[in-house]
Amino acid sequence: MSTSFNSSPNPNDEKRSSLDAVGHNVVKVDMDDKVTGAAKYGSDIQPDGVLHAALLRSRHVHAVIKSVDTSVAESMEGVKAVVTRDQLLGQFDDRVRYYGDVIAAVAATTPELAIKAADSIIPILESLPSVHDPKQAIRSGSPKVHDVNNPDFGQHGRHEFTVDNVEYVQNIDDYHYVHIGDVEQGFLEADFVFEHEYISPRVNPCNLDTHCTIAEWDGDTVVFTETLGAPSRSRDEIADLLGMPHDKVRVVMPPVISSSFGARSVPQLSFEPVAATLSREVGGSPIKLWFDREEEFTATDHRHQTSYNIKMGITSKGMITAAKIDLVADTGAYPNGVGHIVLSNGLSRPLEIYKIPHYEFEGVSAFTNNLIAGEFRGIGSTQLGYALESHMDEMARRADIDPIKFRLMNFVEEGYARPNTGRPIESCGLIECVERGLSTFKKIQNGPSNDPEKLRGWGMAAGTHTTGLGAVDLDSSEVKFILFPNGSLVVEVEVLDHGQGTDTVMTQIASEETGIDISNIHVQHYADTDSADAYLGSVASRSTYITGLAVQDAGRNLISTIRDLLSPLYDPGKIEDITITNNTVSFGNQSVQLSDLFDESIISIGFAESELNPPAYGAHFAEVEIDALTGHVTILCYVAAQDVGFAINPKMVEGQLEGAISQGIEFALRSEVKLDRGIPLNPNLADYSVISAWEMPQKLICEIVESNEESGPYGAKGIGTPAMPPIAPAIINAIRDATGIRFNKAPVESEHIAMALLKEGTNQ
Amino acid sequence: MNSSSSYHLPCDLTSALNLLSEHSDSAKIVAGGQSIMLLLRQGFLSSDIFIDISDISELSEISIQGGAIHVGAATTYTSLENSLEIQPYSVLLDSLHVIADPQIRNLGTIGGALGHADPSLDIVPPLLCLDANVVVQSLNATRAIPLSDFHQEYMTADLSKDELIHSITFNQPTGIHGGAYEKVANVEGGWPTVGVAAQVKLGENIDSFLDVKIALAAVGDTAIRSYSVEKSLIGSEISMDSIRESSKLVCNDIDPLDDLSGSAGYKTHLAGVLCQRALVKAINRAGGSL
Repeated sequence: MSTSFNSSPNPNDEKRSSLDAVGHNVVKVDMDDKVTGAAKYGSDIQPDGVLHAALLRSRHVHAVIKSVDTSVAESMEGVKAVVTRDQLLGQFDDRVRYYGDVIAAVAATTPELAIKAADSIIPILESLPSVHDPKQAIRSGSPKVHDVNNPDFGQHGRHEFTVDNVEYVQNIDDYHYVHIGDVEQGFLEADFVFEHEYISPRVNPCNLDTHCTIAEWDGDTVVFTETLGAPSRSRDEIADLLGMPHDKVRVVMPPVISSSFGARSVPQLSFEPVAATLSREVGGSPIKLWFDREEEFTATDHRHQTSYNIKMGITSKGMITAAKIDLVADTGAYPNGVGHIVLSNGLSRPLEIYKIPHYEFEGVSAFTNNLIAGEFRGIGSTQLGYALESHMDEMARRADIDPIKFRLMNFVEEGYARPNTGRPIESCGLIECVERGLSTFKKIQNGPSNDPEKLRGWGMAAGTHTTGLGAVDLDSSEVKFILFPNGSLVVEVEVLDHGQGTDTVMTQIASEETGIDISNIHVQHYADTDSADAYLGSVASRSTYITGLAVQDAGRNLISTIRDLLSPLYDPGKIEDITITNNTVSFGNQSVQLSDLFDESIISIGFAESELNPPAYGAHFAEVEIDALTGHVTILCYVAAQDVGFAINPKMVEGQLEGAISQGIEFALRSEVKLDRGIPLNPNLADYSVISAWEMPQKLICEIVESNEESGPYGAKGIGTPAMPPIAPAIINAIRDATGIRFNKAPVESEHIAMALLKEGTNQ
Repeated sequence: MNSSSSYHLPCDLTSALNLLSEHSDSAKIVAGGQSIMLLLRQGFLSSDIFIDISDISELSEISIQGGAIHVGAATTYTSLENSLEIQPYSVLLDSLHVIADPQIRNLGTIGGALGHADPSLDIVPPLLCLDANVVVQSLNATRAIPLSDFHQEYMTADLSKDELIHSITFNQPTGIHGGAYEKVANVEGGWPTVGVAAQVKLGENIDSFLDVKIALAAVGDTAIRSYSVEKSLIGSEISMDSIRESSKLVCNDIDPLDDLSGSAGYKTHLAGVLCQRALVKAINRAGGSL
């Protein structure tokens, strides 16, 4: 793999050279502990006297529990607690609704004994009719997963809604609708109208460290030690789910934060409530509940499987006149607030990338007796991006318009008012992404193959996802600096470093603002939901944007505090360019020891808030080679041109892009949790395909575009999630180019390609 | 493994055979653990006694005796891949390069694989093409069984409870020969959707087939020889047409199922494609041209 940075003249070169710590490739500050194995994650914690939990899970997809015989488990020596579903804290009735739903749980002195005891429990279940197709589920006559629409399980984002569609009557998790202009009029104005459906896969992030919590009671307060990406929001959700006051739940972070990709952004139904109940049963002692890989696949969240139907009209020149988008998302058996995000992002994203004069969107997230869906990198935007960019590509090809020119003439630009909210687009590097990306791609592209068994083609896709949550809810962040006389600085932040590098970014910003050397700065997470209101944490690509701003503010406040300390001692007119080096403050041509200014420590607080959520954009280009006989796809070249506003750490931006590309390839070609009437067929890493370096593009270049987002720190906006949406469609559009066939169900497996080519006679 | 299991790591073959004889009803042989650990974790298997044979040096030896190669059962894929003795056997080397990933090849052993008898193992078709024999041993007896008979049905090997696999042997090919293994998997290092091994022996003028062996993975209860393809090619002149036509006959010998790795229809299609490719590669390696 090769990477180029600043391959063409960049207006930010001057800005970058004026910065010391920010804008440069600082090595990740947490790297040594992680690569040597010294890092202590949640699952490494083993409190004295901890008991281990195991669950008996349903193997029915929908059933009523008639009885549960726990007598054998209870008689086992070393088993300390056995609870059945009806005894669990929270909203558990006598019905199981998916494969993996909890029936009973035990706590025992060893994990092996807990599993043995759970296995000894005999449940008698009576099967109920089940529903697995979300489109059927919402229509009358299908089995009901929940008796009411929009049930309250304490999920965030839950809101009242009215369903305008008379056919959608039941099993409704959430519903979003908008109509701007007059879509039917828009289609009349079109010279060409094209409609198609796109189905996205149910994918799992496959975090290496599976879910693990330690629950214990401190009086009437339950304490969970685990990684939760949005700790305070999750605390509220757990409390609401358990029916407890928010202040009676605490979430404590383990010493090192686990990876997430969204999987740890919301609590899990068969996780925290189960551990809390077992701990209460044993007098509050710690209970460790650590999912094995199969539980990770069956009892934690997947990316929502979505079905997008897109109808679009364009003029003969290629201007979009109207778009009508219908989305049905599979929420699975229980709500967690994420269906709402899938729908709202599906509704908004098209309007943040293309000018669509007449627009209608209807989205519904439906309950089914399938596995529960939830957050995964680029919630909703990834699925929409795949559907929309597949559609744009197909539409252009059918209308005989160059797919890139077609996009360029319809892109939004800076200042364009989003028609759904009226908010202008903040910074927009879309055109530069396309131009720089295409220019680099043309240089490395292989072009057609002479071998008739090798089909080559290339494609592109654009994409967007917003930075932060300002437009939804005022987004804010508070950080605390503690400076010690020896010159070391502690930076306390609410955002968690799941591996994406926020500790390093915050260190760079703190260093930039104060002059303190990187090695003297130590980022700490607020350890506990009691010590700070870390409502949002590391979600929605908000960390660098909003917390970065707060760190910048705290740095400036620290310098200001030092100025106040120096003022009585020195001529205020000469106190300029304050910078801290080791244990010394320098200003003008003078310097003074920190210990001469204060004894123990000084504290500064930084604060930032934003009502904006600037979209970050990307344009990605892929060249594929397809084995015409086996259908196997090799990605020969890939260029990811991504507008990040300003790259605070270019190397880590590339890391984010490369990681996203691997997950995008899984989505496009290789990975899917397959269900047979709700029963998972491949809930393990032997049968579920995860890609390795072998499947990565043979040549990969990241082009970092910097559009200078005025509201962000040094011009930065998000990268983690915005990198995802263009990847799968760029690859699938390249397959279209190579084969002439539009594949509209991802992952596009080798078999699909080979058999489609056989049908067309291309590979005879 | 449960808490009452015992794990033995004998240093010599006699101790291992004694243990096996003593606990033949409940013992399981561990030879790298790359298959057995999956079965244990998924709860498909449980056992009280595990006998790990990886410390028995006699079982990790690779030697040439009287024109035949002997490979000890506890030889890892990696040591086999790196052994000088094996370098001329391109059909075997091809498969060794694509078995899972290096970490698994560093631990997984040839005896462990053959005892496991999974029809999807990449290592079996090349060994079938080489007419390999499996040497099994108990405290009282040693016997050699052709590999084609050793795998009796799905995941079932001809191995008594008191026997372990001692080694695998195969003769060095003579004359003008070449071999190749071709595989399609969803991801690199994954289980084969289909795998095809071909071994050819060519006539003096390098224009005809004196002998052909074709064997396939993942298309039946065991790895399968394709006698239809072999018969139609043996004695015939080498041509792209004959290879193409003969490869189509592979569907007469296989019985693939629809499963997660693909539909039976796709696997049948792949078997023909890979058969043709493996033959072409084998012929090229033998010095033939098409």
